[in-house]
Amino acid sequence: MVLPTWQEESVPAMMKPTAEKIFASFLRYNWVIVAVSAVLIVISGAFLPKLTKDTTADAFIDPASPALIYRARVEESFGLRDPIVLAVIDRRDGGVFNPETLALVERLTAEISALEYVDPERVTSLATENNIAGVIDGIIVDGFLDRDAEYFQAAIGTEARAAEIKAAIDRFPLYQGMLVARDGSATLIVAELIDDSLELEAYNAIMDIVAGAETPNAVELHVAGEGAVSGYLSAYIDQDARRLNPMAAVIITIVLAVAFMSLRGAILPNLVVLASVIGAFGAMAASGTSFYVITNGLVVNLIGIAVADSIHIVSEYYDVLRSRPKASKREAVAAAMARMWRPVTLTTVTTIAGFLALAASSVMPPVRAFGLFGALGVAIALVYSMTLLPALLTLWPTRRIAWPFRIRKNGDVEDNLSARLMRFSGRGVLARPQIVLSVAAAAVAVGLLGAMQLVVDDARIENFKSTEPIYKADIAINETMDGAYYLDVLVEASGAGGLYLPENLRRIEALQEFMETLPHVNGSVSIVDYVKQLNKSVNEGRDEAYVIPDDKDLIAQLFFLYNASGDPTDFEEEVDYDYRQALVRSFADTDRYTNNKIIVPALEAYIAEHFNSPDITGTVTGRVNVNYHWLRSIEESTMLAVALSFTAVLITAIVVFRSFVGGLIAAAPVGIAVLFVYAVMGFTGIPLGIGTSMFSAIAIGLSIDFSIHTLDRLRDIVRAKGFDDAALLELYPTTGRALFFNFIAVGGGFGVLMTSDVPPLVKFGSLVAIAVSVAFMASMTVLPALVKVLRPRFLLSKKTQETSYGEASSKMG
Amino acid sequence: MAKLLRKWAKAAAAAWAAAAAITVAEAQEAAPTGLDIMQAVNAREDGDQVSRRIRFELTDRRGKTRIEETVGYRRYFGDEKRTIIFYTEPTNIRGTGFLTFDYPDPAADDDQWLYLPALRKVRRISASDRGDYFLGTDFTYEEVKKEQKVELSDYDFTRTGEETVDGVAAHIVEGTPVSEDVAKELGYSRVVWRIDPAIRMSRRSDYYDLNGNQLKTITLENVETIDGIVTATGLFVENHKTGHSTRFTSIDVDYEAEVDERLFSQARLRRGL
Repeated sequence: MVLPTWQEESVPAMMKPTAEKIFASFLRYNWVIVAVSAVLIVISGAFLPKLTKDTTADAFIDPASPALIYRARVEESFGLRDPIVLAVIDRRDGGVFNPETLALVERLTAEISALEYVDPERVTSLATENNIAGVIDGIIVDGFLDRDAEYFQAAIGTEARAAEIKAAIDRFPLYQGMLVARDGSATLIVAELIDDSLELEAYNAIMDIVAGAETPNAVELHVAGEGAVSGYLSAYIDQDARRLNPMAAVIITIVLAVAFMSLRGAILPNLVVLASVIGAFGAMAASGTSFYVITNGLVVNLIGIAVADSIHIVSEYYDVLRSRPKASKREAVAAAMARMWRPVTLTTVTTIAGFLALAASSVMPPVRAFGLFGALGVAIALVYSMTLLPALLTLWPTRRIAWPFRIRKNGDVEDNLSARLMRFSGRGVLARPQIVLSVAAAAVAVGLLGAMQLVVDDARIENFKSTEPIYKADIAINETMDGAYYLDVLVEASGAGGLYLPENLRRIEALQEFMETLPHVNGSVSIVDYVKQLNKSVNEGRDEAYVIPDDKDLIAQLFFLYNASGDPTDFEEEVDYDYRQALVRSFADTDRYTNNKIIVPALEAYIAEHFNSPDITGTVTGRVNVNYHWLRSIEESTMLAVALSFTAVLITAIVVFRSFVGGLIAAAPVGIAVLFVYAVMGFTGIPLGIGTSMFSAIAIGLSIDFSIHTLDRLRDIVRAKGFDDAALLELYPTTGRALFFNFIAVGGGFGVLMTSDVPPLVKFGSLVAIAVSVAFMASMTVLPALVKVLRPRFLLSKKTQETSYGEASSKMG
Repeated sequence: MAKLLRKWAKAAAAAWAAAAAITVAEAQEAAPTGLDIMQAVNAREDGDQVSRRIRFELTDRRGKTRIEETVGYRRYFGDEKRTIIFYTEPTNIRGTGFLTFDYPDPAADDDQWLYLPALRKVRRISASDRGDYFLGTDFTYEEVKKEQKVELSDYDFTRTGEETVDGVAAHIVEGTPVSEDVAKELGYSRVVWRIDPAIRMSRRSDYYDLNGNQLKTITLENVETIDGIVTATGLFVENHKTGHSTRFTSIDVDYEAEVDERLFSQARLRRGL
């Protein structure tokens, strides 16, 4: 290969490029730079312990979201909490209605109630709930498992009692599907916590009880519930982080070691990475931003991205050492920096643009935080790469040239495997540029087709692997019970006592009937069910009395009876103290966006057209509604994120190359990469969700780096030697080789996420890794092919602004 | 005659208990034990019969208040205690009534009847557990029934010290249920009373749930001597877990006016106020 030959002695000091001089004088203060950096790292590190975690589902939602605010208000006024739910599933005939399983429910209820994290008065199960039976002369209220029950005749622990309990549940619709599965195959133990911040402890304690429980063979126990999910997720991501982050660091170190085969090359970039990660997360802690589920991915991202700058700089440093054997370490570093500061800064700017576009386009706080602190981390990496890294290179005791960069005894450059491989592929591309471009065009067409199949979908439970107990619990509960996801309607009468009016209750009854016709909605509950059940109870338990009475005073007296028979806050979750507002709750067995986007608008339309009247109005709320609204924001913001980040990188590229055509050519590999990923998702049915929606902005910001480095080098080559094949081939063993390791590092960094236990991170990591691979390949094939075919003028323009190493060397040569 | 005998027996018991407390105290040359104090509390005279109006002021977590007013009568039939109450406020439940026969044998369930005027039917309702909440208030049936007394066989008592409550020196007595079953029945793992020896009532009592969390506090807000009987006319109970509270005010308390035996019948319940 032809290398620029630089004769150190032949360059008078006057003629040295400005950038090199600046770096050279700056590097005189190398100890100061190292000291200042160390102080900054220690300061940001000091904030790290202040970092707090937020793994709640609501953390993903714009705090200003009307749906979230409204639900918070409803939860507050109705005293709704997120309990932990233990499902007891009995697959035998007759389900849970056998002495053995009922005894198990009683035992588990007692053990859970005794946990210090649990409010013993807010545990609900067959062992705590009462049966209200209407008999000939009155009403009998008995616990299902009471030993001295009046209504139940058979003794506890007998088949006969189990049969009596089953018959009682069959006559008590309020418990069906909510406390006991409609087919009897399951029953729930629902526990509210004394302190919601102890969710994880409570979840673990209940899991311990489950592990220690003696269960009949056919009985399964599952623990779930929003409380359990947030608690568990918090520990889950911790565990994930403890595994992923060191793994990413190890992979990067291996990449560096292979690329440079030197201690310097392996250690110094790692220091820059460490400093950047500490800086970004220190700032996160200092600003009081929480560590969310997806923030985990950011550490790995920064490791992969921050190392790229170092790879290019160290690579160039070795090139300089090789070509200028007499240069001092400081001179060599300054020369390398003079050559690299521009592409490294530009690529950082585009990566920052990608992160910022992500932050700007999303309303989800975790995604915004990911974008903002990702941008900050990359910026910090640039600063350390421009200061700390060169300072450390000058301070490193030896100036030994790493083995891959050495000159052979015969004076030739030692041609290592990676450089040979790169040159080989370069020859292929430059020999048949038309074929390369045709293949690319065909790929774009297929990509467009696939991208059109893309759907938006996600569900919170998808944060867990399908083998996790909590995932299985979710499936089991939703299969057997009416559903674990709430779709609620807050009903408001025009005045206090409005809910005593029979006509208002009938409207609510019709609303519930409608809700139960919605797909995946299997049951509902409201004060109307209580009124009907109580009316039946005071009328000797006759089935025809399971109706709303016509007399508003009787309704008031039935409510009074209910209040008088329970504890004062029993009814709090259904109706307010004035009987003006009530909550109608329905149960859906899925939380998928694809279903939510059908049922929520349908319910809204029903309420507007059939329910609302001057006397009473309804508003949709509940977890399902909140999730519907925020996933809809993904649908809306993803394309915005793509457009914003693509525009940002395009503008950057146009400015960099001072050419519109140049910008377009640079953007081509990026477009191909993103389109390719959408096509993969479209064809394989991977939906656009939280994790997957984030990939595009980041992928765009990273992919443009390959174009910039490639075109920057090609410009130097073309200016020196024109569009000659042999000249263009120089791209491959130099910048091409560095880009190859850059790609391996970034791809490896994101690839580590594929081993994560958090599926959104797996998807995010894989998609970015695929995009980066495609972008790397496209910039090594499509870009040189385009340059060869189009011979764009911007590569030739003879502006003498910042003199680059290539130009300087060609002049000298 | 029976009434007279009963009255005499009660007075004698009270005198004996008080004397016993003093004797024990003297014997130990120290303050009385927890059990002594609670025996003295239980020996307090509460009248053979009473008629009164009770006002419940129920306040939820958000500060919304509901006011209920009742007229009620209570009378001993031997050791059996009968109570009837009618709601007068709010208007939509006016005339709703509860009749309770409370039998001295602890094994026998109480009998209870309910009358809903809009239904025009008397319905027997099954007995409540002692630890159940009383008609939607923050008091339990046990607390309402005992009228500031305590079932001695339920707890082990310990006197833990003295405390000044409302400017009055009070004994602090801690009660721990004698067994897990009793604890479950009552819903408490521990109760702390501050007994004012002068009135033989607790001025402030703290209740702890089965896991030891602070559950509720009952504060004596007003105490009067009516017809020679020390009567708690103002009580406030606050549930610390739910934020719900109940203020209980007795008005027009009368231990002297004759309470007709025939008042405690289903027919009377149906007739209403």
